[in-house]
Amino acid sequence: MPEGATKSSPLHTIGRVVLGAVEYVGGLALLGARTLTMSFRGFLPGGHFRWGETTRQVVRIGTKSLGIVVAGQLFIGVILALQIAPPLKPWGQVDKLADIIGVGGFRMLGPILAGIILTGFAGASIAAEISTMVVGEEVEALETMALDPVEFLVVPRVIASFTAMILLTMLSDVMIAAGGYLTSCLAMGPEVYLGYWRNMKNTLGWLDCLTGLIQGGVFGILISLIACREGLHVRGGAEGVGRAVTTTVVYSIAAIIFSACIFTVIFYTFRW
Amino acid sequence: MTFVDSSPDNIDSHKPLIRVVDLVTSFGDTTILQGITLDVFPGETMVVMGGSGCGKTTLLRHMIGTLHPDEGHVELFGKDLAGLSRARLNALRRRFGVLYQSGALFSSMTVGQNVALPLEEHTHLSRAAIEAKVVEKLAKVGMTDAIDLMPAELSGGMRKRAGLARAIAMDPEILFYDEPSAGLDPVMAAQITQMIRDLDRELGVTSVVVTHDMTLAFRVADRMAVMASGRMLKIGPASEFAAIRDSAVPPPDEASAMIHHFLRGQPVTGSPGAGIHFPGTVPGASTGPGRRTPS
Repeated sequence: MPEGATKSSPLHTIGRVVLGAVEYVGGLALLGARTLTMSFRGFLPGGHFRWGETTRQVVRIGTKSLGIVVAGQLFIGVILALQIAPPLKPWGQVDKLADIIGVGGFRMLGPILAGIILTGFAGASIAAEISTMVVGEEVEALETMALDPVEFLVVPRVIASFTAMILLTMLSDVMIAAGGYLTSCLAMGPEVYLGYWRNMKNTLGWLDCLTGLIQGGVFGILISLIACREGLHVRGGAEGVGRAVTTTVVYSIAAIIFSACIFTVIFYTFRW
Repeated sequence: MTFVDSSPDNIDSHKPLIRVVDLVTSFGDTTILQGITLDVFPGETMVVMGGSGCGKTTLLRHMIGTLHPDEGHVELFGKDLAGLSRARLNALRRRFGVLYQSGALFSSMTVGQNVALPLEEHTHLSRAAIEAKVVEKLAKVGMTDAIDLMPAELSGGMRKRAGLARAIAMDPEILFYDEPSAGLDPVMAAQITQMIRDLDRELGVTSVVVTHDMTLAFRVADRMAVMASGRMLKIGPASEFAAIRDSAVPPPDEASAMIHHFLRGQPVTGSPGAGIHFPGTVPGASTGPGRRTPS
């Protein structure tokens, strides 16, 4: 430590935060790498991919988030339509409403909002489940039964979360578009709703759909990895479980926003 | 599987199944284990006793390979656990079973699925054979009626029995028990104690029991080890400890006096590091296996 820099100095605090962040991201990357390796190993000859558990997790994660995704994204479509239409009107461009909702919803809003909803439902639930298992010695019991907790607990949840997020992103896209259409029917003229679906179809390219789905899949992986990591590293009893859940939600939302920003920069740079 | 006959004549008294040598472990600035040495021989039931926080569960975690020592080493079946790859450690882990304090049943599975899990994962048995084994193991602990129940539907004692059925599912050579009677009423504690005795006799396994329950300890132990503040006070045959407990006056040496008070449930005056001298070598640490009391 440089002379004059005490333990409570701003420099020391910044250093500690940066080191902590690097360690956290590094740990998450290692967990991700092990998960990826074990997922592939499961499909190799002699491997044992847990189809049953993975399917159970997809259903659990997907169905938990389904209702709120349908309702939430429909309202987002309504909000978008009502916010975007007035500024377009003076320019005679209200018919462009479908184009804007389509691109914004499919490329970014669909996956981001689905990710945030999945964080609240599945991320928190995974963190609570695994941390309770750690506190109840179940994870240690797995290890002493010669079963790898990463293979047994993390792999099914990460694959399930990845799959569920792609499906939920698709659903989100449809619901945002439907919300926009519903609003144009109820609150705007026929010049908007008559050509709504045609305009959206003409504007949206396959790349718009694909980039949204890629982001959705990555957000799903991030949420479940963070949840599993927090669950497996829990310290203390019930208090630790609560802390793991809170940290999962906060870190997952931060990770979604941060990675969405990186994706946007990449897509903008390569004009995808 | 190697079957070890528990009768005294057939015990290989020269090769310990578990060796703990000069084990030192710290969590942060706190030293939990301070040079623990202990041998457990085939077929014997070793009971590790001590007050809460003395480090006995930490010692058990070293024996099952979930903790790594700062100094010293732990050998299981003649292999140093610290030097093993994950695959080799897992191969060893298939040869022992652990009964956790809480039972540690997987809450998302039924009792039957819990017991079946190690068999499904580590054997190539058919579904029917696994089901038959599950019923057989549950019958050993008197839990066949609970096969389809979820862990949340079980009482504390039932959870431990189901955990025991899972621990013996793979016909282990060693059984580790972590506080098997903790949190149970006296009747259930007596049942668990009897079950441990019956299993030891029936399966001929080597057992390590970590407990602070005197009744259980004296009923199941061939040899005992008493710990205090991360140090081993004494290791020896259960009869020796019974003699210390039953003597009218505390023995003259300080460690035995502490054990005397501890076994009688009396407050221990003085503590390790507070004036009491702990010999460098632990009496009886490697004096050979205990003799199982003939049934």
